[in-house]
Amino acid sequence: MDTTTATTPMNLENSPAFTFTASTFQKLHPIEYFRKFVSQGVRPDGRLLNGFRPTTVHVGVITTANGSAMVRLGGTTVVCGIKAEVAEPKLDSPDQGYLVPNVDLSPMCSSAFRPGPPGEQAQVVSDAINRVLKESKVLDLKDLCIEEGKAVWTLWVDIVCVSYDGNIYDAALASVMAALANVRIRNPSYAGGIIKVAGGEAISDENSFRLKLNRTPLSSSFALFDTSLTLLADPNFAEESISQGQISITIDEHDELCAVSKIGAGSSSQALLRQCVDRARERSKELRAIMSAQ
Amino acid sequence: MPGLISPAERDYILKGIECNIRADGRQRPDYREVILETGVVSQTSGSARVRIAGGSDVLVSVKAEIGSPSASQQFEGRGADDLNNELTQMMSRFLHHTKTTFTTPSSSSSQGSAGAGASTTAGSSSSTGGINLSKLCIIPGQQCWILYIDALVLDYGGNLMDAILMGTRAAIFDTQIPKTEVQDLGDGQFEFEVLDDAEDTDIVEGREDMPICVTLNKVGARHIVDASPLEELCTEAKLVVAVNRSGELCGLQKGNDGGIEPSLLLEMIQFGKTMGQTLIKQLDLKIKEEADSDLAKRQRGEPIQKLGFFAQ
Amino acid sequence: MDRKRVPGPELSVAPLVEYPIDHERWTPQQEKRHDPKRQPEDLRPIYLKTGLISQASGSAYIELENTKLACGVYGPRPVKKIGQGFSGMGVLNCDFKFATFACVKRRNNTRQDPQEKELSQILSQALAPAVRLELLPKSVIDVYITVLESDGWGSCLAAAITAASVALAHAGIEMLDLVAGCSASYMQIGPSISSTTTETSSSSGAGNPITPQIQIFMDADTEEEKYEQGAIVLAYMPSLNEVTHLLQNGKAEGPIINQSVEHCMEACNKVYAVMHHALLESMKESKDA
Repeated sequence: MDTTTATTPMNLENSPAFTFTASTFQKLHPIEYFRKFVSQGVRPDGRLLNGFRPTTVHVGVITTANGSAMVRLGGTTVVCGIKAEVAEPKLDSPDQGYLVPNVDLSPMCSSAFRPGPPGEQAQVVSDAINRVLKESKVLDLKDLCIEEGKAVWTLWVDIVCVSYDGNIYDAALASVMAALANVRIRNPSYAGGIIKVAGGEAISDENSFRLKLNRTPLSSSFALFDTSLTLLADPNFAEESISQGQISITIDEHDELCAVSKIGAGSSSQALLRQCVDRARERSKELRAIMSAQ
Repeated sequence: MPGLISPAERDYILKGIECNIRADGRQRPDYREVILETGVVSQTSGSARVRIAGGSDVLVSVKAEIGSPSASQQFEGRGADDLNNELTQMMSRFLHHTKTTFTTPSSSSSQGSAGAGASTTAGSSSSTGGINLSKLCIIPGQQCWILYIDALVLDYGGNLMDAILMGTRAAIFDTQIPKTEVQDLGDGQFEFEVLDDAEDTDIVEGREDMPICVTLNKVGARHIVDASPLEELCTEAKLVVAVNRSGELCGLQKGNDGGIEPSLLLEMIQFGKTMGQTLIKQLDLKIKEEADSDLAKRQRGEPIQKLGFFAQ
Repeated sequence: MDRKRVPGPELSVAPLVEYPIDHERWTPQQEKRHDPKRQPEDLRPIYLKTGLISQASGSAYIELENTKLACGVYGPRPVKKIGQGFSGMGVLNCDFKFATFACVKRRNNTRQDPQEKELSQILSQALAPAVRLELLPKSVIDVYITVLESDGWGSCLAAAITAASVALAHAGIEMLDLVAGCSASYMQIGPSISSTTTETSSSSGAGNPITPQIQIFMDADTEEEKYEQGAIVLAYMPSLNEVTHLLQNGKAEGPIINQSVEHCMEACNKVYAVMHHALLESMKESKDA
């Protein structure tokens, strides 16, 4: 938090008794406090309005998982671990595997979440990721077939939020894509209803396979601030809580839109949406560069 | 059971323990009188009732049923079926329940299943509970006996965990498992038959090695055994020491929200060990006496009188 | 059916891993550990950092090679649960959770399993002696642990204790001392130990003239725990010289226990130094900021 002493302009001249520090002002009038920054074209954490927070991606961080990735987006940290297990396929799709993404927003990562079953936000994010993965056909589920009608791979994609500071969707989707690219599954053999994999030797290209990703959708989110609907790229927790709504643009590597979502009350114009898409294109390239640097 | 204790009462107990005199006239290392009776519930494979004079009253039953060996539900890296560990988990649950009600029908099961599959972890830890689980196997990997151990707390008077484990041990001693006959039909197929003969049954192998536990309560700078409810309220920290017949330690767990100095800790472990061994010897003696007298009576055709539920 | 999660197949199992016959597994022989670089008394290198969770009052992240867990502390905040009544003492509420991918076998995330419940209780008993709860009436301190990866059961619990007490200090909660956690496993070592003989080793190997030797391995990993006869987890406040928790399972002779308790206490002193360092670093960082 910015601790430089600032005073509210309305009581600046007459009563020094009513001056308070910036942090007090922020607590009392969070929106007014924010407006002051936004009118100057910056945000309290020093970012420009369309600036994203520093992002780091690490893959293969969890050795007990088949694929994993950790994404840090400023103060938000998520870890995605993918475990492959064998299951029976559905009757109507005997050659298709399962891809099951779930987001866990535990009370550890923020006081906004309660212990127990997933809350509203966790459900929304899980569902959004599930839809992007399914409808953009990121993965051909037929690749996960071991023996038609008998056994298929189930990829349990579990995303754990370690630290929550806004914009969980961007971070979670990036971690899922990085982890999926990191997945290695040992070649299975099917005999008499039992799936076996060879253990022992170190995992290599000969004894394992990777997933073939048809595309890599990555999202960029913007908060809509105030009635003016100023766009704030990559909102943090404080910005999310005072925003009117949020727009998420999901784009794949060919600059094609995979998903667009807008939540919240504010009505947005076409121009605003175009602005989001343009910025998201740039951002998705940056993020792709960070991910491929791994 | 009182949930709170006044400062005056606490002071009285603390000072008394410091002088080696407890409210009921015992000294620090004294155990209350234990009444143990086996074979109290005829519908079970084995049962025992333990009463610690004037207080805790626990009924433990063992029921042997046939089931399929479960895949390990435990933590990875541990032996699949660790009886003692499960009982330790029980402890916390029991203590929580009895704080709200007097009689607590709570159940918990410990499983014994066969670990004959090649990929199961080398079972050194399965020996902790003493019971030879592989002897409970009927068909490797498919069918086995599951011993369900249920403890019912009828009355609470302090020192529940000791009573529960004492009862469990006695109930396992009392347990008779029907013999089975396995037929190999070839081609990996097996069939088995349970022999319905009340006279010719198996005992639970390894029952002699089952541990009991001694709970040591640290009050002030001293430690006492077999605490009464009021003394338990003054306890800063307690240490449960599980020990078997040969004096091997089978488990240690600290409870309550207090710390223990290392030197005292080692002393307590040593003390608990000696105490537990003495207790086990006495219990074994009594169990054997009872079994012998029952057998003698049965041979003479006399009815066997049980103390029953209303005995004092 | 769980409607709050994306549904997967009702039943799925890990594939059976088949090892080639000539596959060499680590077995406890001589004094070689699973990680040959480590001596029996060596801990794994500890990475400990505070302040990872921006929203928490205090937080810590600990890594012992493959054991990785994060801890967040919230509070003290007012007791919300109705029916708990007035308490002159604060309540330390610990919540231990494994990520579904933390262990070799996938854990189901639907409910807190008994193991997690037990570990939560152990954790709160281990920390309570250090925290000055009498200063915080009508309040609750929530300690949340998420295990991202577990390599060794004992080390996981020990790391959780260490991380939680650093996170409590980071949250500025008054404590008497930091609690350091340490684990040790003991196992029989000898040339003739193989998976077939260990099954009968309870009868102390009739055909085996070599007396089994017990070796204590500090901070054992999963591979070593497979062969352990028993394990011990100790929580210790080095400055106050007080043991706040002790958990032991598996059969052992008295001297082995005494020895492992002493080894653990020594190791706790080393862990203590790391904890100090981490907290000092966090002080420096907050000063610079």
